[in-house]
Amino acid sequence: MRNGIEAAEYAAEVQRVVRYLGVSNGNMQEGSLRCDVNVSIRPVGQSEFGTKVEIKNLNSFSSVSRAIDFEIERQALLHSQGQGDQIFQETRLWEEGSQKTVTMRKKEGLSDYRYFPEPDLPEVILTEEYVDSIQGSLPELPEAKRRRFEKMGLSMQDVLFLANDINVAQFFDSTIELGADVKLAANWIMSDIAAYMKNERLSIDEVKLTPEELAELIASIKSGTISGKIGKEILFELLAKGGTVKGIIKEKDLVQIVDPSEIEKMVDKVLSENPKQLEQYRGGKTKLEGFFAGQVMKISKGKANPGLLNKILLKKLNAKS
Amino acid sequence: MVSTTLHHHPPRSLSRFLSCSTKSRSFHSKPTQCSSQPITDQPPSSTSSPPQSQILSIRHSLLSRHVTATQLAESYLTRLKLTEPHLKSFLHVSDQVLNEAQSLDLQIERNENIGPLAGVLVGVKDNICTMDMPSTAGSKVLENYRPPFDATAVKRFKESGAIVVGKTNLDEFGMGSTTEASAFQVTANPWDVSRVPGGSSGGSAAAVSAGQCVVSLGSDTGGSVRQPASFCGVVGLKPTYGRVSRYGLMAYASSLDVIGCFGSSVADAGILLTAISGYDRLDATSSKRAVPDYTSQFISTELLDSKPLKGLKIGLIRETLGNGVDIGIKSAVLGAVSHLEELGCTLSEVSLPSFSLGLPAYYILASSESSSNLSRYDGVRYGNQATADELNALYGDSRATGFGPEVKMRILMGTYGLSAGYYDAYYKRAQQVRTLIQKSFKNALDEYDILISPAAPSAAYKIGEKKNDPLAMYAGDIMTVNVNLAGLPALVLPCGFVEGGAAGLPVGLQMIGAAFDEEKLLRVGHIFEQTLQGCRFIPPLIADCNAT
Repeated sequence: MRNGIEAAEYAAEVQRVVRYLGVSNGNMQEGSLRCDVNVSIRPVGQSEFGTKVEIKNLNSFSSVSRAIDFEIERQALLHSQGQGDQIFQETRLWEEGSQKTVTMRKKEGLSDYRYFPEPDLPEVILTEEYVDSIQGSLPELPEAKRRRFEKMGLSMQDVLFLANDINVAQFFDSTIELGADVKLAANWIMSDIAAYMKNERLSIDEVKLTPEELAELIASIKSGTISGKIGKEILFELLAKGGTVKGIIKEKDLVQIVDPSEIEKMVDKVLSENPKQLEQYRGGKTKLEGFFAGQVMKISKGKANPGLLNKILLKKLNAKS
Repeated sequence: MVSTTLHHHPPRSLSRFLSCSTKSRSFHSKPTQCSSQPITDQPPSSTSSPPQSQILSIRHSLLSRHVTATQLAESYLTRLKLTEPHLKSFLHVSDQVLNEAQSLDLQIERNENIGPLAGVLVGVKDNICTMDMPSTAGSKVLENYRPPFDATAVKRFKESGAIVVGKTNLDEFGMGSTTEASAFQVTANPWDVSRVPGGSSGGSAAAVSAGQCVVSLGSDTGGSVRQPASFCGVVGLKPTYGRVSRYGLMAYASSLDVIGCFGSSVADAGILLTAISGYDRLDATSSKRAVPDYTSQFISTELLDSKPLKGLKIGLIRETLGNGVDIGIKSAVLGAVSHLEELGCTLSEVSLPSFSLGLPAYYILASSESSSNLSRYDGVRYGNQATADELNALYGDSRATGFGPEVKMRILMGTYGLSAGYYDAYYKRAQQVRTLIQKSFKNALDEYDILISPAAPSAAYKIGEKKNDPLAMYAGDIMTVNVNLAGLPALVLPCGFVEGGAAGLPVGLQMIGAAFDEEKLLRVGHIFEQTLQGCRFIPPLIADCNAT
């Protein structure tokens, strides 16, 4: 690898993979994933590698990135000053506070571990069947998932977010398997659902919303049964308390009003109850349209279809008399 | 590998120490109490009858109510106490023996089922863990250590009804051939108390030889069951590596160690082996192979043909009869060869190339592994702790004061052989030699059913004779170490005598089999033993006791 960010991304991908496999939580801060790096530089065109320096005490992906970049610069500087021989094969420590690498205390002599093959542990024989069964039981790994999401037409931002956590990816996949629109599902997950998870410090497995209900919600909005705004409210309830879309719609009587005559009645009511504003509007204060729309929404308890409402309202407002 | 037919007639003058088939001896007993002086002029007893399985006869006596377990235990304990001051086989004698015997008697009274080893008193080498009994490995570093668990082998024979009579003396951590390296005492050979019983399982061998217990457990890393069996005139069985779980055996060299059995007859060694063998999930190196009933090999002599071993091909290892082997030993082994031929075997000489390389390879590998295994004795986990102001001094002083000189020497040798710059020349090289030795045994055993050799180049020597010459002592292992390097099973059984002591000194024949072929060894050994006329391998010290 060539620079700090490449190495840090690599480490992050390793973390992603072990989390996908469920074999580790991969938390560097806890020591579940540990990272030492070796850095050497050589002049362009030279095939022989330069002296390598090992760096320890890296406790986050960003420190991996910064330590590598620092070390590259340190070595390059020494070279440029004609002091390339001052680069020793040694182990240096990354100091987070001062953001630099420093020589470790010099050890007396080489470590001699006196290793020999452990006689108390016999050979472990991994049969072809065993290896195949492991292969067969692997989940779809991050790279494959990202490619698949890309093919669905999602943006790179969407792809990276959704594929980062296997549970989120699973939630997304389950939702679209039920027929939900890909882009809408992605949006809901990345915005409202992600925001809720962050605020409540919950993982997607812990929220009460199920993929089935998200799919139902998306379908209900698409079919016009409820408005988008109502949809957001229902979502919040589903996340916090669970339940079903259909159930909540029924319980709270949230079906969108799409009957033009009903909306007309409400518009008429609002206009008649607010003659002063009506006059002002007709006098030129067109901004008051928002006020009327809000009032109609209010008496409709938010259920009026916004498109229809605006259409009918404008018509009425602009009608003379 | 060269095979020739054997034509060898032993020198006349030593004929009286050959296989005893033609010689009968007379017995004169001292009618009074057993003294520490063995009979000086007369050779030992001969009644011409070969040893019977004590385990089977105990079982028979108990079930027929001829004797109680308590009576039996009392008689062994009496003999033990009488002989201990002279022999010092035991580091610890259990105070629970009579209680356990009494419990067994209650079971018998109630007609409950009793195990195959019911009432059998077993001596356990002190490097094998026994719950709530001291287990010191013969070392000051574990002087007061009481394990909270039984070794699997111990657990299994206890489940069969046997009783632990006590813990037997050994060279510290199994490192030695005489028990002189024990931190606590030197065990004497019951055949001549001025001589060593062999080692490192000297206590276990002496205890069985002297009738202080019925059978005993030892451990064998480079010959530590077989050589003392030869020196003490008892049967010693080293199983295939992995046949018996090593869980609870304090490790010396993990790739070489096995737990082995001592008995006064081949049958007893085989019955004990059956009880303790088998896969143990606590020992990853233990074999999952099924354990046959080794006791089904012991056919009564009446049922044997005149040539019961007809068709059996035996190879006598040429490299074990060369220079450095006492003439008396060679004679005794050649006498055994004649006996085997009489039984119908075809005997040839076979050469095992690289045989002589086994000894240096063994000492490098064993000491290297031991340098790792003994690092756990740090004065913190178990055993004695030195007082010190600082941690490294605590470790250092605990080990400096706790380990004896032989142990320290081997740890240092092993550390050296593994160190950077020397690993390739020593450890790796030794492993390569090991592979050659394994191959040469395999080739030989493809052609021969069994290979035979002496178990040691001499009979028991005097206490103190080799103590200051470690290399001379190590050289005594030449017959036995290759078997450990190859992981094969071997049986040592007494086959004759040489001059020495009051009544001669016993000589053991080593029989080596293919991996997991203990059945063949036991079958052949049993027939050999049962047809060996005119010898009883009872030390004079004990013959005296028995006569009173």
